[in-house]
Parts: sequence; C-alpha cells; structure tokens
Amino acid sequence: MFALIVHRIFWLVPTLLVISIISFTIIQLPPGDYLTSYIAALEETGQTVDYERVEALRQRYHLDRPMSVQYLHWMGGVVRGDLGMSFEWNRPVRALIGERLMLTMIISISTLLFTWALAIPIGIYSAVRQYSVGDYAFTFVGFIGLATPNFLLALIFMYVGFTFFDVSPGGLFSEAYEDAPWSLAKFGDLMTHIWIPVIVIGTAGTAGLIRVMRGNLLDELQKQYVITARAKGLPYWRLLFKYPVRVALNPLISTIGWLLPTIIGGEIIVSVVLGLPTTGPLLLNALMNQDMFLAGSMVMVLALLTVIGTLISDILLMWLDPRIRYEKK
Amino acid sequence: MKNKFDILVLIVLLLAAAGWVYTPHDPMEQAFLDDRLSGPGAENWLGVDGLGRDFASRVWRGAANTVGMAAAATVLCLLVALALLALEQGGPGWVRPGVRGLVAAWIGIPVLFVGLLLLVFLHPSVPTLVLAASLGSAPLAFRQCRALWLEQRHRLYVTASITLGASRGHLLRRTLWPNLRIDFRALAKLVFALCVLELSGLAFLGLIGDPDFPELGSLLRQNQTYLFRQASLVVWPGLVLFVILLLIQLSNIRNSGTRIG
Repeated sequence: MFALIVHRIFWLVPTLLVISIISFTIIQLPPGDYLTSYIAALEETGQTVDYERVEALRQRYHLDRPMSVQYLHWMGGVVRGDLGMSFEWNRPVRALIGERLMLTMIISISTLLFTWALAIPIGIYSAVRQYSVGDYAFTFVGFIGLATPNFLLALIFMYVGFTFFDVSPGGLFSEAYEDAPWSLAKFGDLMTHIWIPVIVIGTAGTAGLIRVMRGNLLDELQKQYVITARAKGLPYWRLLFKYPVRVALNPLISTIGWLLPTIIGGEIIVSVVLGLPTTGPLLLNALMNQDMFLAGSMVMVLALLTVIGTLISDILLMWLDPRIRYEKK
Repeated sequence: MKNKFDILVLIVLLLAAAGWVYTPHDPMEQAFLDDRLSGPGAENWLGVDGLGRDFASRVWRGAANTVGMAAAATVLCLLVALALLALEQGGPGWVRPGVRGLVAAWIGIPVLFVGLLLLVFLHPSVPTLVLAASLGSAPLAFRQCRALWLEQRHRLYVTASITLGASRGHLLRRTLWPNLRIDFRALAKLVFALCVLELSGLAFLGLIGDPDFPELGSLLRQNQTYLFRQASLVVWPGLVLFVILLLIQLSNIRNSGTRIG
C-alpha cells in the first residue's frame, strides 16, 4: 500500500504540470490582458492613463512576450513560492489568498464533516427502516434540502437571524477578532460563526448523500452474502456495520475528490451573500476582471485540491475495502 | 404519465412558460413609480419593486425565462452527452480512453466554475449562461447515459432483435427506446433540475449580462437589498424556484432506477 501511495504522489507532479498549462492557457484566452482592459476603463471614464507605469508593469510581468515565455516566468515564480502580483489589488497573490484560503479550507472541511455526520447515519437508518415513518420524513426533508438553492438558504438565514434573533449571520468573526492575529480565542470565535455557512453550503450535499447512502445500502442488503451471514446466525447489527455499510460507503468516499472543489464552488455564492472573507468572491472578481496571476493561481489551487482529494479518497478506499487493496497489488 | 407528480410538474412548467405570452403588466415598464416597494394589492398582486415595476409580472416572466433557459440547457446537455457516448462507444480505439479521461477530469469541475471560465472569454449573456449550465451538467448526463446503455446492450431481447435482422434504426427506435424511455425521462428531469439550480446561481452572481433581465436568480439578486424592508420581493422568486425544484425532485422518486455509472 505504501508503494502505491508513493507511486500516486509521484504522478501528482506531471498531473499538476498539465493542469498548470491548461489553467494558464484558459486565463490567456481572452483578447488583450488586464492592463489593456485597465487602460480602456480609465479612458472610458476620462481619467489620465500613466503610460509609463503601464509599460513598466508590462515589461516586469513579460506581458509583451509570447505566451510560452509568460508561462515559464509564472511557473518559475510558482515553484519559488512567488505567485505574482494581483493587478487589481496591487498586492502579491500569495499574501492575498493566504488567509482566505485557510478560511475556505476550514469551511470546506467542516462542511464535509457536517455532511457525512448527518448523511451516513440517516442514510443507514432510512435503508434499514425502509418505508417507515422516519424514512419518509427524512426523505421529504432531504428533497426540501435538494430543492433549496444555497443562496436562497443564505438569504433565509440572514432574514431569520436579523428579524427574530437580532443576530447578523454575515462574516466569520466578531468585530473584536476581525483583524486580530490568530489565537485560541479567535479560533473559538470562528467556531461560533462558522455553523451558518456550513449548514447553508452543506444542506444540499447532505440531502444528496442521504439518497446515495440509502440506495447503496439497500442494494447491499439484498445481496446473497447478507442472507448467508444471517442464516449462519451473525447478529444483525454486527453484520450490518461489518460488511454492507462498509461497502455502501465506497461510493461516498470516492466522491471526496470532487466534493472539495464542489464545496468551494458552492462557497462562492454563499460567501457573496453572507460577506465571508474567503477565496470565492476573490476568484469571481479575478476571473471577471482578467486579473491573470490571481485567477491562474486560484485555478491551480482548485486543481491541486481536486488532485489531493482524489488521492485521499483512493487511500481511504484501499484502507476500507480489502478487495481494492488486493486488486491493486 | 402514471406518476401524478409528472402531471403536476407539467402543469407548473406550462404555467411558468405562460409568462412569455401573458403578464398582468409589462414586466420592464416602470409604471408604478409612486407605489415603489408597496406590498401586495388588487392592482399589483405581489406588490411593486424598488424601481416601480409590477412584481407579479416580473416573477412570472422570470419563471418563464428560467424554465425556458433550463429547457434549452437540458436539450443541449443531453445532446452533448449522447454525442460523447457515441464517440466513446463507437469511435476509433484511441478516442475512447480520451473521452473517458476528459469526462473524469470534467466532472471534477463545479458547474459554477465552468460558467465563470466561459465568461472569461464570452460576454455575460443568456446564451453564455445556457451554454455554461449545459456543459457543466454534461459529464453527469454522459455517465448516466453510459450506465443505461451498458446495462441494456447485452440483454437477451437486444441480442434476439439483432439475430432477427433488425436494422440499427429499428433497434434504437423499436427495441431499445421503449426500455430506456422511463430512465431517460428521469435523467432529463434530473438534468433540468440541475440546470435550473445552476442557471439561477449564475444569474444570482450577476453573470447574466443585463442586470434588469427577469430571471428567478437575478430577481433574488436585484431585490436582495430590500430583504428587510419588503421581504416579499425576495420570498416570491425564491418560493417559485423552490416549488419548481421540489416538484421535479418528487416526480423523480418513482424513477429512482436512474443511476450513476
């Protein structure tokens, strides 16, 4: 298993290289660059354009050179940990996305845990007690979750929070901790605010996973090995958790790779509504304003998360399911 | 159409689409400037928005636009999925793993992200949004279509039909389609629901181009600022969106045979 993990990590490098080329090409596809759009915007509003500064920036970031040269300079920087400058914010990309990325990851992992903590037990209950009142109730609540777009849920939370509890659901920190350095108290404050975005982002995913878990387990429960084990007298709950539940979890684990970028995708809208200082709104603005280094770096980060997520899900699958372990040997 | 939710979905969608033909007032005309942000009344069923426009007309036209755009995105998505399936199953040997690899990478990209990337080199507009929603949902549709195809193609009735000398057209129309129809319809509904969600999400982010365009997501965005002054301006478009999505989900309960391949 160790050799397999090393092999997979080795393949991460060429995969990320290909992704970086694709990301950079996508960012370069629109005609012109940020500086061209910047000049056009200034001229449109009648403001003076400092052509000398524009030219200096163009030369500094090799915008006047072919795309391949620009890519090599960008990648050279990425390897050294320099992700370039954000033209719009006039700040290094690394500094800009550093803290936001950490908050995004905290929200994403919390959402993932929230989703699984609810979906797995409810899915098991719904499958074991199929067509019971509880199953119908969870199924109906699940459908409501699937039918509520997360931006709508965010608006509902905002309204209910303000109107009935006099609480602002926006932001991730109290005013006292917003600009404070990280400490245990700041982390505690984050935990008191984070549950709202986690519920908002995780509701639809939870509802979907309940359906998947229920369906997978129902399929497993009808298989012959379950009947055989029961016929041999294995206690029901021991059998359930030792075999069918473990097999039913496989498809859930294999989705980790997609789940991380999906959560980040969903987080964009929720962050815009709730005013969260995460990477979502930053990426949205960077893509819309052709802030190429910022957008390119963030696309890379998203791709990296997908690749790491897939690696984690593969390792977990190998650990959980001996069939996969032996098949890969 | 044995499922009663199917009938209900059809009625609701037709009712929504009627917003193209009839609305109580012109949804774009600022005819009620003096009654801005007024609540529901006899003249304006759902009140008047912040720019003096009849809100019932805007919600109705918005529902029609959302449903129309989602229907177009669904058709486009299914066509892309079927074209990919045809390539993957019937294309040259070197194309098949390429298609599978492409879909495996593509499915990891959130639809919202596909939309944002498309908007990098296409102008924000209704066709761009439709394209984004359809391309974003295409990998899922492809995997479902592939699972359906692989499940049916080796069945005995298909082999029997081929042995009897059925042409490719006959095989598809008369042999396979009657058995695939129910699952394919369920898939189309699933894709439609996804497209409604994604389109409204992208429109909510303001990626529809015209900020005044009535669409359920963009109506929520336009009236978000009035949430605490006149909540009904947010409640109604949200409720219509929710009802459309809920009915489609419920109508798919009985078609739960559709599976991810």
